[in-house]
Amino acid sequence: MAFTNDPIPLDRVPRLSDDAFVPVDRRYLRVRLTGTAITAVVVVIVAFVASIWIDGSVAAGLGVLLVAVLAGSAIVAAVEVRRLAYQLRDHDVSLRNGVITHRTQTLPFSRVQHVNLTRGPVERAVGLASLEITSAGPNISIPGLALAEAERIKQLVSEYSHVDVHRDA
Amino acid sequence: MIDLAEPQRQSPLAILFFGLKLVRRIGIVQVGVGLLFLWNTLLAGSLTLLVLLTGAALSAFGGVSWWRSTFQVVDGELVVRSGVVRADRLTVPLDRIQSISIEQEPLHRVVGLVKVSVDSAGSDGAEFEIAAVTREVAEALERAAVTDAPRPSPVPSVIAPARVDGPESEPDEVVFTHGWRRLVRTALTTWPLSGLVLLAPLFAFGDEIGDFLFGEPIDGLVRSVPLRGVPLLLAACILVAVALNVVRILLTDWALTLRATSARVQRTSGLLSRTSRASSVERIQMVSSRQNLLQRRAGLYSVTLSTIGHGDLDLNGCSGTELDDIRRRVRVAAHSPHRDDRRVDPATAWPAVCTAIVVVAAFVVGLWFAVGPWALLATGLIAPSWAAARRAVSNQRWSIGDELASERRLLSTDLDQALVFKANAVVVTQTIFERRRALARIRLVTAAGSIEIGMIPLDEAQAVRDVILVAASTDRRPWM
Repeated sequence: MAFTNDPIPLDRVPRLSDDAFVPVDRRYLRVRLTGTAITAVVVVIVAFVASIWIDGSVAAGLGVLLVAVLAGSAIVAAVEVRRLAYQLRDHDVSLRNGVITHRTQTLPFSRVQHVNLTRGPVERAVGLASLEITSAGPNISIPGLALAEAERIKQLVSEYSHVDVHRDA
Repeated sequence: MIDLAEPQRQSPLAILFFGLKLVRRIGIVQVGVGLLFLWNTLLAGSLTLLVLLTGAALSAFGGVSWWRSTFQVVDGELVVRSGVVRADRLTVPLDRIQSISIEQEPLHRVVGLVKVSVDSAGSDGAEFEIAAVTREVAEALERAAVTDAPRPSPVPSVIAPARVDGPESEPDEVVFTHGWRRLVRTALTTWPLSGLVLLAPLFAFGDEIGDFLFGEPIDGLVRSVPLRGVPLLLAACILVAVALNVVRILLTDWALTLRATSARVQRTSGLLSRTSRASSVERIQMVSSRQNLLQRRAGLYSVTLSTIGHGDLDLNGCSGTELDDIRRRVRVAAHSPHRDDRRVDPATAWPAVCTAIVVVAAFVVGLWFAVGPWALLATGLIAPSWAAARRAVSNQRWSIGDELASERRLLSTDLDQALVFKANAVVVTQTIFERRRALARIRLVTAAGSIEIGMIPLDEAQAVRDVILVAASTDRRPWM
């Protein structure tokens, strides 16, 4: 057979479509807001205790400021969860995230070293899990997956990338 | 011929090196103070027995530890056994070993031994060290791990990957050796401040040294210099820094030699401490070359071959021909991205200018309290930084082909190249600033560094990402 090495037209290169991203489970927002709420409670308690030693109005002002910052971060979290999405293709996995800076990270299956499934206490309470896909370079962590879906993706990624599967739950 | 299938032990002198390492870890000063204390108390005889017993116990422990520490190669794995009370066994597949460093410190040279550090992917430092072993054993281990190790195929392939490893008996070819003249040129053309590290003890013992040499602390001497003497003092400092840099380069890069086969490269250098570092060609992820103004005049380059783990190969003072030869051996194109003439968007300069404005504004506010309206003179820095940013952006070029290359040129020329099929991930990012202009940045991340191109049109960034992903998933050449 004659050897050929023709250039590949760029339009024949498969595109990573923005439309094919699958959003994470909306319950993940509860996980994020729970973390923010716990921080807010701690801040309020610290401000209350601090008001015993320092001027009460200063402590209250700082407390209000910090709670306002936390409220802002809660709003950002809500927007971020809406943007958080993943996409699986035959040869790679992609994660789309970020509010101020939009980021799309793609990791080819041929570079995957191992796959972890992790579940924190809040995630367990709402029935979610996070999938961590590690390579010799960067890692991808897809949070906010329903447990069954996470198990299925973990299996799929490990099959496509021929790696061992770990679970730290 | 060394048979690594049999358990190998370090030289018995390794016990001595363990002891020295222990002393270094505790601190030479602390050990000295402790010995002085013991010497003074020896006369009283109170601690003599305790010291002797402790010394004997440590020696016995070191002896048993040496006897029980072995390493061997079994079924493509390096097996290291150690431990006196409990038996530790470390197994590292040979194809996971990223690099092996063979180092000969002055004391090693006296006894004709070498130190070996084995570095694998996933470890923060060296996976393990062999303190003292014969060069024959070290080189046998290096051959087994770097040259002869089986390489995993990155994807299940229909067509077998082209075997790039040379035959086992392929001799090393000396690519280049730098003599003392080249080293002096290298030192004279590189930034001399690093030579000042040799003066580091002055920071700790400056006053004592000043007292000893001049009869007063160095701080006092510096303060007594009249204002007109400041340029002279600066010139003297620069001369000292340059001279010390020459000494530093001569010490660290003495007889810098690059050897290569078709499968691996090995860098050896050093006057007091002879260091050898080798890596297979496949594990080299990126090639970076730097050239400052002086180096450009002298036609020299600083080259770094980034490998997985902590075994980067730094080759200072390479000529253009040597750089091309290195690129050819690690299978990276020799041409500059200037040929393709792909540029980044001029808006790339804006974030740099904005940063400069913010920094200068903070500087002005800070200085206002000290010098009043004179602080406004600092705003004069904004225009040069704006011009520099614009110049840097207009000189920046990138190219995508078999490798992704990025070249930045201002006072120095920096060129980074990475074969696209070695990508471990590709990231496309867009800040608010970039979104408003439909621009984006693309970052190719390898297992040993990354290259970022930006800002470029979003469509172009996405197309480059798609090309990289196709190469990473379909190219059957081994990537590590």
